[in-house]
Amino acid sequence: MTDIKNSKLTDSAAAGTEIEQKLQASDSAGQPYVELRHINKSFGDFKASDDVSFTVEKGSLVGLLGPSGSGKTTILRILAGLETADSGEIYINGKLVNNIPANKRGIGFVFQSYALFRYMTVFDNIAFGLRTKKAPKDEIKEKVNSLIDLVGLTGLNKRYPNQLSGGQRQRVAFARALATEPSLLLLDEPFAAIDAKVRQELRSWLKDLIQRVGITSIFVTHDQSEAIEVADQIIITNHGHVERSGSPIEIYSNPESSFVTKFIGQPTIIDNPGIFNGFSKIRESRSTAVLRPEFISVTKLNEPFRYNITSETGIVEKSFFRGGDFELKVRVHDQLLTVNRPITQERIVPGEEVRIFIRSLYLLDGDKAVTVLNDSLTAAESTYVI
Amino acid sequence: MNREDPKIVKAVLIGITTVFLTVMLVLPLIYVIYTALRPGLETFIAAVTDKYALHSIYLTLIVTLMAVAVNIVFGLYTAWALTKFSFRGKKFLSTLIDLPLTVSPIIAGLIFVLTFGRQSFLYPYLNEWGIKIIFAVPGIVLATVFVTFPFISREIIPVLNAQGKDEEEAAALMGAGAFQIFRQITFPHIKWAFMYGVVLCSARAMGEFGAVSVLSGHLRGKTNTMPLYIEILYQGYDFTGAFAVSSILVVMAILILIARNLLEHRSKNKFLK
Repeated sequence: MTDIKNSKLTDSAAAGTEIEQKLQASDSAGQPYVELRHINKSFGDFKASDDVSFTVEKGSLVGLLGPSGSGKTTILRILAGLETADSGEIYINGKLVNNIPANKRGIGFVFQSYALFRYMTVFDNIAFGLRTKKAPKDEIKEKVNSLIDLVGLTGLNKRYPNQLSGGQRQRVAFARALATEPSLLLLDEPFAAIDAKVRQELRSWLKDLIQRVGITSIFVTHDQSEAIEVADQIIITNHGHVERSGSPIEIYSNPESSFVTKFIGQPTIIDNPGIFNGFSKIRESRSTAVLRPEFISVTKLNEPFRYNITSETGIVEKSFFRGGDFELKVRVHDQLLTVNRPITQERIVPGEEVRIFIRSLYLLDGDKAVTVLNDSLTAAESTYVI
Repeated sequence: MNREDPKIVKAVLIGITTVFLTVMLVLPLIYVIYTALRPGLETFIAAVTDKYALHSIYLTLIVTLMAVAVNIVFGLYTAWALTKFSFRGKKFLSTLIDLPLTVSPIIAGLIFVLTFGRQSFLYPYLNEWGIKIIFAVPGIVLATVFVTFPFISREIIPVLNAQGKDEEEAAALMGAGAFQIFRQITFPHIKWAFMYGVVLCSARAMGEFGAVSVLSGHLRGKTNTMPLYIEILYQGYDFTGAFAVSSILVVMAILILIARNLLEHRSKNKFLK
């Protein structure tokens, strides 16, 4: 410790901070388990990773979320060692792993296609990594069988991948990735190839299982509901760089950036928000804002309403039945707003004039998004904005 | 729509194909075997057990074996390199593999004569080391390898392309080495395409005439393969001998064709499973 401190004095300032950073990295208490620093990666002219930096806590389940082509999978593959970053540093458990080959990084990887070995049985697929590591035979058998039980595929040991359903294949891929007891699990679009109903079931199954095993996991998805539902932490990527990182609730309720605001939730983009009652403080007429259905309440004209002065009237153009509620498209000030009306309330039909109240909206200001409340509401009254 | 039309079309198409194949393939083949056997079985046996005939059969088998062995290694490596990596010049290499299919075999032979013959700058060195290529067995093998090298890699490349890299990457992440990955993951996948390639390659190697003709020098009992020997017999008006040796070559080709069909059948079953 003192040696390093001394050398820090003699070295240049830049080198000094570097040593300090490395010291922090090797300190095991309260440090991030995975850390990416300034990762850049290009494929020809295409910049897949643009100064990507983020950290992941030990034991957490992280979702890398972004539109397709936003560089999520590249980040995952660089972490796994399947791609080499052009520049930047990757730390796993405090150790710089840039020059450590993929198979020595202690990573389990679940491919989007699952990449099950099609000429091997379920048992042999899961046993592959253990056999490569030359584990004793009884140990392999015991381990593989317990994994098969863990993922709920008991009795299917001798099946080949093409004799399994999509969900079962995913379970095998998951068991195979866990067999060698990796310290980090990476999953590339784990639910993309599964039909909607099974996907829902698998999501909660996977989250539950990852928590039970207690392994730090990062998964890639383009589906925001998947990320919100499954992840402890979401990292949003766009055009190769990290837009925002935080817990699902943080990101959902406080998107901060213009991109995230337009990406998360069910956004309706409106022009000139200042013309709506209650938002006259927005003077700039060329500004745009983002509304979500939950920001808007809709009432029939004959229903009592508290904030009459700052509400609007609009004409319902379309109504879609969504199961628990109706999604209504209401035209107000020549703009189409999306609102939800629970099925338990009195029906509103297309053509009807209704009262619309906008509680709040996200005003876009360059790259930023700020919350603006309706004049009738004080910050204390709003249950939504944190 | 007249429902009769497709039936007529079908019958006509099948009919034309059958007639065409009969005239072009079946009749000549039957005629070869018939002519070979017409003077009597004894003459036939005498012709094919002739010292030079036996040597030509032996040489053909040896050359085929060596050419196929070389092309197995070459074909696997090339297919692997062209499907698993992306690099500058990949398209060019891929096109180059097809060159033997487009270049006339006789030109292939001439290329080797120019490269290894007396006028080549390599000749003094080869001579010093005592290596004889032109008008010797190594030359014949070289020519055969050149002419047959696309067959194995061309069969494997589409299969490897269809498979993608995921399984190999998964195995590599679990610590498997390159050879283990090839043996356990890649090879089971390309096995049938590979064997099919070997069959095609053998068939072509056995029958190669043009390139081998330029390089062999036609030394009876030394550098004559079966096709060359047949040509010599034919030019010497020994029709019985020519047809007798031909019939042996035809039988060998038919055996390979049967092997090919068996393989195709098996691989289809494998995929349907």
